[in-house]
Amino acid sequence: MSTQVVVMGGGIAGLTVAINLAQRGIAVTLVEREATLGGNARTVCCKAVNGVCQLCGGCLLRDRIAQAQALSNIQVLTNSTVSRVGARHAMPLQIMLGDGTEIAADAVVLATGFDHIDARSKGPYGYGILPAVTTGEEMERRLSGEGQWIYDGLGLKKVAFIQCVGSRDEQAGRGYCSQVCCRYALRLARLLKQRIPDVQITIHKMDLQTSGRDICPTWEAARKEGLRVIAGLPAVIRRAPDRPTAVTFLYDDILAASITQETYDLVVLSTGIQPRADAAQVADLFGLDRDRYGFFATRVDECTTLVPGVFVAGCCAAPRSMAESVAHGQQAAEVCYDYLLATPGAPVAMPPQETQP
Amino acid sequence: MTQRLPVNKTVLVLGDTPEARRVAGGLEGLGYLVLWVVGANSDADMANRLWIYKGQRFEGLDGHVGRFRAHLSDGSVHSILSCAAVVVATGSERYWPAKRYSLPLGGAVLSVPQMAARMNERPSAAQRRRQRIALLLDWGGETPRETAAETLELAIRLRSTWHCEVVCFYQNLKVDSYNVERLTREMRDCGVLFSRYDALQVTASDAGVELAYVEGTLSANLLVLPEAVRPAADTARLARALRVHVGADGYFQDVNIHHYRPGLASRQGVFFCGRCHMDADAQQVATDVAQTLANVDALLGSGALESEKVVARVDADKCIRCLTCVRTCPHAAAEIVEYYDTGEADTVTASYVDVWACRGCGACAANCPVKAIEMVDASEAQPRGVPEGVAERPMPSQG
Repeated sequence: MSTQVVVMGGGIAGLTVAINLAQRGIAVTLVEREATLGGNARTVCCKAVNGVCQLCGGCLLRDRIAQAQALSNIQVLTNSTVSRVGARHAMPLQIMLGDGTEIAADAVVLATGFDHIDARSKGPYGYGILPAVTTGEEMERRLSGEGQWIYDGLGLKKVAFIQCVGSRDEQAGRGYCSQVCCRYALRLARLLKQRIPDVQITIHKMDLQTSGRDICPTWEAARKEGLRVIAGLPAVIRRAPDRPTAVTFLYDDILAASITQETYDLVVLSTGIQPRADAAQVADLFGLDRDRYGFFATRVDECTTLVPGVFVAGCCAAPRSMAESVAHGQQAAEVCYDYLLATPGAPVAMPPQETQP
Repeated sequence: MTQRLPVNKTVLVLGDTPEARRVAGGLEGLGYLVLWVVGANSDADMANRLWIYKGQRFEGLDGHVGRFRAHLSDGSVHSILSCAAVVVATGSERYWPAKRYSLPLGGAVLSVPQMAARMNERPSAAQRRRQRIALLLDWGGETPRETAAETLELAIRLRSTWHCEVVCFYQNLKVDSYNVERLTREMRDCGVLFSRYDALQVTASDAGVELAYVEGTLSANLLVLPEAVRPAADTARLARALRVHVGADGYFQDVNIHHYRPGLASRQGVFFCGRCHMDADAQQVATDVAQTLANVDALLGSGALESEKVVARVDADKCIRCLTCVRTCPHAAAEIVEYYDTGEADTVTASYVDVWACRGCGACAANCPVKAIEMVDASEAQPRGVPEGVAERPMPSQG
């Protein structure tokens, strides 16, 4: 019998962990609650501008799904959840799936992902009521295979991106930065500008996060293309009185120390990442702690939890971009592999075999 | 169908950085033979399967993934090492950007490492407490993650060990990693003052500094600025020697042709690790090291290379040796070789695209002026230059 690892979650991080471990001859059961693999990464799409890659990581998913399906020692269970976990600290962990299957796992990697912050939770911004208010997630979905890009024919002249919608908001219980919104907003802004050259784009921000080699070139290019940046967020977004299809809001430009009213044809709310609604149940199942915002708590290596043999990868432990989720998945797999090697009596790993596609 | 090629699990590691050390150690732990090229003054130690090449300059990389031949030189002796893959972990370089900061170091103006050194001098408690220390981020351009994290750590240490007043000036608060965000929160919790600036006037004298901004003027005993970061001096030369790309900013560029693959160079079998290809705080470097180990092990772990399913094949008789494919191939997979087995009396000199280095992008086939290149199933490709049996083992140099 070979070493058995259960990976929970078939998103980008879970797939990365599963492939890494399977390539080392470990039998992996990949448990995915939905009918298809990919998770939230499915709606992250290519954002190349004029054929030049913007390093968003939208292309990191597809090969991984194919790779996971080609490896014979990854058993993919879709439409599956974990219903019960046996006595903790007693290895192997007995894991019972929703359909009653029992698996004896030498280790578990949780890669359960995240929920998008619902823009409706920020009521005064009018998402869901005002047609001119959309979200970055929705815009991205319209670029991916799952939706339709509709913005070209709208005659857009002025577009605003509102950053930190639901993120860095202690009152909403989310005092953390979602890590992804500045980056996708800047990339989408460039993409929009490329498709509608005479559009004027403004970003309303608290602190724009533009360091890092993946986003710095996009930021510099966007500034050259005339992107306007304002340090000040609106409190309320309203329908423009003279033009019902447009919206208007007041904002406090904190650097210019002035309050200004401005009307936009389209407002994109940069919503971020929050712990999944069922994160508490999953944490209870495995006996994990959660941090102050509800992400799974880890030791300093960001992969190991306080429960032996249980590891975390990707956005269930902290907000991460696509590339960061992949890197973290690789790291979690390395840490898990080291743990398995150090476990006394660990069975010898079997070399993997590829099945014919 | 793909083609398999058995290879030695030997990896060359370039660089004298903490990430290079961790990659070398990590690969050795995974059972690889590691050839680590370090500077003359490195204190790296040989281990059973970790061979150190001190004071060697990397000059070039022949061959292809799985069968690389790395050229090293110590100035007088030229040596060639066989390796299956190369990890580049040459790091970045810190410097004091005198022009951008327009502030000379000295007097009341210190760099972060200088302040950290000064903290070891242990002034009296009363002296420490009387001080007001200003930290200045984003001065003349965004502070990179690498030095921002260190500056924030310094602020926390100043506040919690010297108990002096610490004011942090910034344009955009750094929260773009969980680690940096934790530091920012810790700063707030331990009483560091934050001040956002747009326009700022700095006047420095030996006695102290004056910072004038829109809300007023603040005087401080010391002004501390992070150093700037730039690509390591040798990066451009190394990139040419490795036949890989650097970005517009001068750092090594991860492959993003058709697909973005963080940590992978455009040339198959070459990997980038750490600050030579990313702006990262210490935590992110640790993650990147793990990612590098995983990437190398995914390539070589099974002891055999796997080709792409579809690769380029050159018709040697049609090829006019115009070098278009050699110049076009973004993966350095095309080269001009001599074909001996074409059935004709003379050898034929023509282009060859290596089966395992080819990523199947089709750029060569699309650009070939005489249509001598076609994309075929890998099983129909004819590999060349594949060594028989086990390749030679390199010997470590003295010292």
